[in-house]
Amino acid sequence: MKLSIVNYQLSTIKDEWRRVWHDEGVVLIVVFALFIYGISYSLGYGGEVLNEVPIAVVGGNNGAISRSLTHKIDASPKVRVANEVVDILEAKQLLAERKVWGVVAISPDLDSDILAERQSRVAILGDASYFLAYREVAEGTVAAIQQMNSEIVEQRTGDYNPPILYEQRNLFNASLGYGNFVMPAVILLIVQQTALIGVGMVSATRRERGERYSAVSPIAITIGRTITYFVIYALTLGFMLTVHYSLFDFPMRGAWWRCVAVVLPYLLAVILLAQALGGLFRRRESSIVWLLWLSIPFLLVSGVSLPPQAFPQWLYLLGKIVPSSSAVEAWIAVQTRGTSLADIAPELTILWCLVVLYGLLALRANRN
Amino acid sequence: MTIKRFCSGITTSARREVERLTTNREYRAVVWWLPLGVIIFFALFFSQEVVGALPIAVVDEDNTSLSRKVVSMIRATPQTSLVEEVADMATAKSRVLQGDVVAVVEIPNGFAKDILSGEPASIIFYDSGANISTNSLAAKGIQTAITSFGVGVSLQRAEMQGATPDQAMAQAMPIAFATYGLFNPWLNYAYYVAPCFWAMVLIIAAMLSTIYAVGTELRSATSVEWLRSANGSLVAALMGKLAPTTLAMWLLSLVIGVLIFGVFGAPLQGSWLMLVAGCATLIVAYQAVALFIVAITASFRLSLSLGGGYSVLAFTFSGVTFPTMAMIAWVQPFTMLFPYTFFMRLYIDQAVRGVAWWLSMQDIAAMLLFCLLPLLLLGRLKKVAINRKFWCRL
Repeated sequence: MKLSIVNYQLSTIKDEWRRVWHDEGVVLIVVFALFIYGISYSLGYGGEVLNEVPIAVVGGNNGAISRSLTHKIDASPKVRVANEVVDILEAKQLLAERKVWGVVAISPDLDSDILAERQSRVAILGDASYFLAYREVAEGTVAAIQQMNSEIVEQRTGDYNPPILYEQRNLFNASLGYGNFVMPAVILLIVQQTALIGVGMVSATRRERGERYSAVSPIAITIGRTITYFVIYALTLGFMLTVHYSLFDFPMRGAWWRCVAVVLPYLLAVILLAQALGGLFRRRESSIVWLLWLSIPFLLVSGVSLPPQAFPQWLYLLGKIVPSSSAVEAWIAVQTRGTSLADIAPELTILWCLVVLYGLLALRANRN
Repeated sequence: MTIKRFCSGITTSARREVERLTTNREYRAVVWWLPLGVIIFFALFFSQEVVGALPIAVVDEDNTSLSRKVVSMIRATPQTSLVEEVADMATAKSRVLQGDVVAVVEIPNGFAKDILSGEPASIIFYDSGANISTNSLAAKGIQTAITSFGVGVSLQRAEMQGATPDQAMAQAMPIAFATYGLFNPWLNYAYYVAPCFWAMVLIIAAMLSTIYAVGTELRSATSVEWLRSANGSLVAALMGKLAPTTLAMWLLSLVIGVLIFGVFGAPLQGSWLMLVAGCATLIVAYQAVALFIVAITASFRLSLSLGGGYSVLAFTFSGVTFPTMAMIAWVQPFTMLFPYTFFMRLYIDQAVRGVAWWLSMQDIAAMLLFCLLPLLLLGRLKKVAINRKFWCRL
């Protein structure tokens, strides 16, 4: 009797397993897409930090002090003086042609001002339409000017004590690279998108061809299907979170069991949601057509690329019905910041609630 | 006669397509309702005008009137007005780990003593580093507050030594600087980030609707009937078939334009004509790539997978969020494989930067090059349409 239940359950797994591997369309989405997208995105964000942004300097050659300032700006790792021009119109033309990303306009009277101990001025014009470059231009130039200021005061008074020593330290993400910041979330989102589309394709193909499940009980069917996809994703996602993570040097600060505590309910919630949604599609390709749109909205409501403070709170809360929202937050907390499980208890609770909710909906969808 | 036949082919094919649209709910969703829904989602998402204040923790170990002054200056900075004061660094770090605050400012013990004795006093800013945009906002806010506090201290010192206010300024800050964000001084997400996403909706819509329009003919083995409706001319059949969906895409781009420049009130710095032309070219370029994919794969389902992936990848490789010049050198040429890259250059140049209109002609030309792709495969597409071995393949 016991054995027959096991066999019964095994047959549902075999049935689903065969459906996945005998369907090249499904294999492409469920198995290979994670690697294809994961590697492409990681390469796209691969340079990590922006260095030596080209800028133009106006009036940098009117005397020894302005030349020295230009030299200091050029020495900054963040920017590089690509062009020295005499008037601002010329600099603006270089900006329009995308030859430079910022303009530093030094007052033509800089040398005489400083020698007469009058305050002089520098204007930093950054191309704000590309804000990562804008930040580099502003930070690199400001640091050079501050260094220049302390040297000037030191020369005048013999010594220079800045009133404040302002220090910036980094708690977690040492390199502050863009890939480090965005890829952990993106990898989890790819899992969700491919599972929703892939499982949906299997469900709809079966319905379209009028084929039945090998089992009768929706519980057995749901368990069998869930185990099948769980095994596949545990392997592929496991590869991404270990080998791929090390290759691209993404932050790994969490102990393995903390990572499992996040990934386990996430995969279950995603796979059950995929089965629940799969009940809605009538045609094999419908899941792509209906779900492809959601990748960017899902990324946005998780509050990763833009902070939750930057968009309406009701959208952030509504976004919690999607497994990726809580999982991404918990994952970044555990892997990037190295938090304890107690600190991500709310996210884990939401994920397990979603497992129950989508489990019930999957039971409804998985009927013969 | 042939021209007449050709034109009547286009009309019949177009009429047939309108008929298909009215009878197929999913087709209507791909062409109109789904993209419109996502466009509205982005409008709601970016409807919050100013970036709200970010929660930060302050550890005031000094607790003197001077350190209180620093705290109140941080509180007075819009980006960091949500200050939570905590007792020590350990508490502050655990608040960061819980994700309740995004950064920590530490004012060490002896801060006031150092300032009064003319020694440099230190203030430390701890960046949580987990979110680049939040952290740079917080860092900018704190740095502004602390720089102005420091200048204030220097001013007072100089004035105490008998300097006039002007001399004091020259002493505190020999070279003053001001930072200006060019082209987009509002630094508003809705003006810059939202259009990138709206353009993404447009290219996904153009890609999927074109693959859907042609792919469903192969799937349901009606492609011969479709060709026949256009008197056997594939070009006429395609022109008629794509006319209604192209019109829908143009209407969608009009909706987006009204949202950007009407509802959100973004200023338009350059040529609106170039923006309209750019949008039209972007749509046609993605339709062309869609036809190319259908011709090569001859499979509706595979075309959807490849076309969908291709359109979604464009965002990363466009250089809008992560600049092209920061990418790995050998990855940089890949940005040119996506018409979206050229469209975003055109959009930013015309809408935001306001450069001369003719500078954007090269972006339009680049997008037009993608339209050559399906022309190379017209023969193959016709073969796929009339040969039953390519039908019903999924």
